[in-house]
Amino acid sequence: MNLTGEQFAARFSCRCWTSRMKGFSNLLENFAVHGTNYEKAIKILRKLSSFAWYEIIAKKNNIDNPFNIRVVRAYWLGDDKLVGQIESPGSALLLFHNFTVLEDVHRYPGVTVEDIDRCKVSVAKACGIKEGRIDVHHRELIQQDGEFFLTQNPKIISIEKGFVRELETGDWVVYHEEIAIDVLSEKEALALIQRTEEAIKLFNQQRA
Amino acid sequence: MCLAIPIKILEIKDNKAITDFKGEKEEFDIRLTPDIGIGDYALVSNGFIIKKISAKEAEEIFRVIKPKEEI
Repeated sequence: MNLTGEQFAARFSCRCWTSRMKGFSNLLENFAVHGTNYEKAIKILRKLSSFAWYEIIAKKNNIDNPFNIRVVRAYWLGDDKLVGQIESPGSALLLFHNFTVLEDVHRYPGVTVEDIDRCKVSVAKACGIKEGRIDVHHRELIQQDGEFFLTQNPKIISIEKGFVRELETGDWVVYHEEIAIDVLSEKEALALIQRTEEAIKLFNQQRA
Repeated sequence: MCLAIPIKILEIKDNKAITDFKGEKEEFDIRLTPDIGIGDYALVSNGFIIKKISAKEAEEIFRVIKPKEEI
């Protein structure tokens, strides 16, 4: 079965803060895997802030369906030419999750850099696989003198195997909120890392 | 976190809206939501209004999140 845009969106959104707070996580996880409770899942996904970004990306690219898989992948992985930048005097908006999420630290004093580190989309090589969990070489998001950076020296963290069925040590795995979402090719993984670094740089420049 | 904060539109001038979030005034670009009007509720992010929402939806989000001064 090919993964739909709606199911791919559910993979990323099932552990997000709003889903956890409102108790949507299980429903979205089941929908992501089995396609069950379609109508309820869509209703929830449309209410999440990520849907606003899908709509903007879709509209910008003349795509009718905001849940089009290319649109959803573009927002979360930034791996598609659909991701763009919208300019405004004094600011620019990158239509990519790892850019939009950085603002939360500034807007909410209760939100920590560690929260955003878990919330950003990360990709890393698997270095251990056991009992439903994967060890990965995680590059942490940190903040120094008001600027964000990805650490150069990865640390090993354990994430849930989540939506990944087949994986070998050395494979690139993409994860969000410490749950594995998918396996990426090296080209896709390096593109995601590069786009994340570009997003952080742009955000820092605008905050300077 | 994946948060987007609901605000209320107080004033619109050119491509900018003056908004209110629990008494805090802020300016946002409205070019992504040209149909926005005074009195509407909307989600904002990174200097832009990203989606118009109903008052009911705004209230739902307020129930889940806490504004700055309450955290």
